[in-house]
Amino acid sequence: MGDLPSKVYRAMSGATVRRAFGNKKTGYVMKLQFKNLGDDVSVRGGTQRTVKEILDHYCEVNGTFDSFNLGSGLTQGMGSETANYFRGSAVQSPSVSWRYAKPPEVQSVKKGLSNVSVELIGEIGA
Amino acid sequence: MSSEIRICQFIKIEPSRGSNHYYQNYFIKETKSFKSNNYSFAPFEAEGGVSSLNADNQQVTIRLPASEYAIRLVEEGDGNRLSKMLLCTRFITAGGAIPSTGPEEYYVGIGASFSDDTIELRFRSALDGVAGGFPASTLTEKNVGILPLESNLSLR
Repeated sequence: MGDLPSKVYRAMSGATVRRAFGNKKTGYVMKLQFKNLGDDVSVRGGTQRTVKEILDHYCEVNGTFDSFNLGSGLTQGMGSETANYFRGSAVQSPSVSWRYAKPPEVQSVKKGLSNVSVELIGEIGA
Repeated sequence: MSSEIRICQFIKIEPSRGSNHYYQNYFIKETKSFKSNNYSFAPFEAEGGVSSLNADNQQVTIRLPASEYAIRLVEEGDGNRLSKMLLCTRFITAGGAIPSTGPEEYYVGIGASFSDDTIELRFRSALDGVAGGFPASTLTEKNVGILPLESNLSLR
């Protein structure tokens, strides 16, 4: 979940003042881990997503530069009301733009199989 | 002990040509009605002095991302040298209500500067910093001659 953009002023007495700079939460983070993913379609007979598809998508959206919509499949394991927070369609949740926080990290397990870590950030566009 | 504040700044910019621009920086992607005008959201920050007793025309900078509307502000204000700005600061309630009263200052544009990602509009206070005890009259070209945009005024 994101948070309101704010700063805290802490006086020497310990008293604090918090200033909010906006009325909507931002800075959402989503971390995804894929274990033993096939490097390309030949590994599991074309029945599963592959490392290549993740890397292709990263290139399609120009790395960390362009934003994209989260596919509904990404939140299929969640209850619909919880998923709405991540899709930006909950009442309390702003419409956020998702993008890669950094390039996907690929760790080879054995020939043809890899673990992939993806980190996404959700921000509000101006 | 802790307290929370929510500050929204409303700017009205009157360029030398074209229509006025109204922006606020708190209600993200929202347009707010304030002083009978609609203020759309712009991610700007205001920085600098407001006024002082020494009448030294404090400088204020409005910093915006180098977007299309920010460039238009500069162009319509002839490099922000001929624009006027009203900056209103309001303490927003937790429910998002905008109080009708609060600090308000007038400024005149003195220039702008560009960087690769931001545009800074520079303003100076419009004779608001005149010291207490100064006769409550307006300085015009009639009584002091041509008024420069940057000045140090001393009375003897």
